[in-house]
Amino acid sequence: MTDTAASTLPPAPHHPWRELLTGSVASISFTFIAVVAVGWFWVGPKFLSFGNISIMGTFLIVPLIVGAFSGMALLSGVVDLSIGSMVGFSSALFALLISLGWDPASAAAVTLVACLCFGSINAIAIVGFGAEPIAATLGMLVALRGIAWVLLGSQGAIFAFNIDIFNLVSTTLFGLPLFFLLAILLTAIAALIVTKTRIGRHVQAVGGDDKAAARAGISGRKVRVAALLRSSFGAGLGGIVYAAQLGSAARATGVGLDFQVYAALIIGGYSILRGGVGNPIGGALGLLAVAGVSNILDLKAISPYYVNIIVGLLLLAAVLLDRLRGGDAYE
Amino acid sequence: MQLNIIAAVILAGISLAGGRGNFWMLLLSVGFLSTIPTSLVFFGLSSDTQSIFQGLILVIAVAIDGFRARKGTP
Repeated sequence: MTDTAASTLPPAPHHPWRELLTGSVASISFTFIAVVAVGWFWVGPKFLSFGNISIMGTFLIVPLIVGAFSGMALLSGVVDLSIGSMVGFSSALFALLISLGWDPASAAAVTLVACLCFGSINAIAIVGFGAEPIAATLGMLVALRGIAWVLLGSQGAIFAFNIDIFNLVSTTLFGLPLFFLLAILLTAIAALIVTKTRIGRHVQAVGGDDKAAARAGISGRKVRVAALLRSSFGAGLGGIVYAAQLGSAARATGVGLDFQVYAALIIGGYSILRGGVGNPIGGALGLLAVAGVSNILDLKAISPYYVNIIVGLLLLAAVLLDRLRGGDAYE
Repeated sequence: MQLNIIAAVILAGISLAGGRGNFWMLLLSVGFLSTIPTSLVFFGLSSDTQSIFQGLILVIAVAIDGFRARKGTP
């Protein structure tokens, strides 16, 4: 279809390095390198030691999984605020089923199906009825938090320690947590899907301009339904890993995770209200950079409250940069 | 708390996109949302279920709002 247009114009020269400086992951690459450099010079070589990275990695598994999936939803122009509560709900349900004596595989399957059901309620409200994504998923955030609390009972926590699952999630490979490496692999696969496949181009097209995408014959409804289901699936997966790591689920599980993930994704080059920009690699680098900042502060015995200030400033810078880069979208 | 306020605003039919809404409806919707905890006690449900109802009411209200807006635009 675009063959005639492409043949008249000479293809733009592709410079991987220039792409790194001006592309969608440019700002976050600089931030990430700056964080690593500050860590290296201020904390010393132990900042990049395997032990330290595996400590960071252990805490990053859930945000990386959730971020990879919900970043794809942001890319298609829908923001799913319910992921934090979805993680809490999924960890509560998984812990409940484990404590009832279910075997882990079927408990995980049932939990994921339940999460997909709530994701489809989101999809029906947003795509079927045309609800505002932020408002509808905000309602789902509140509702899922309530459901998680009901599941957790009056105690507010379920202890479901299962040694097999715990051993599985704390397996290490080359001195790093296996699931951290798997989460990185997941991010890489998501990046490949976004940049190299037809599905990824459809997602970007719908996020960038859904009317133009519809004219090109791409069904925005299908893409957005898939994005919402994927995002709830990712949150369900994150909740299961969370419950497996902690051996329990509590009322506070997943609280604030949505803001942590979205702040990192915005720092990583995504945009909350504007689809079609961002890249899973950038989102993952954002999460790593924020984790690196808090790790540096921990190692220098500085109050962790400063993390919020630094993350806030980074967020502000990222938003301003996004405005500079994609300003035409608002004109 | 801020979630309750946003829920009340949306339930009142005040459009998030701006330009549509009525302040008296806000009074009604705040009153309606505040009766949820009390009515749950009457039905013998725990207060944990409160946010379930608030959330679902919000989702339904937003869906209806979106449906109306979609029907309104040509």
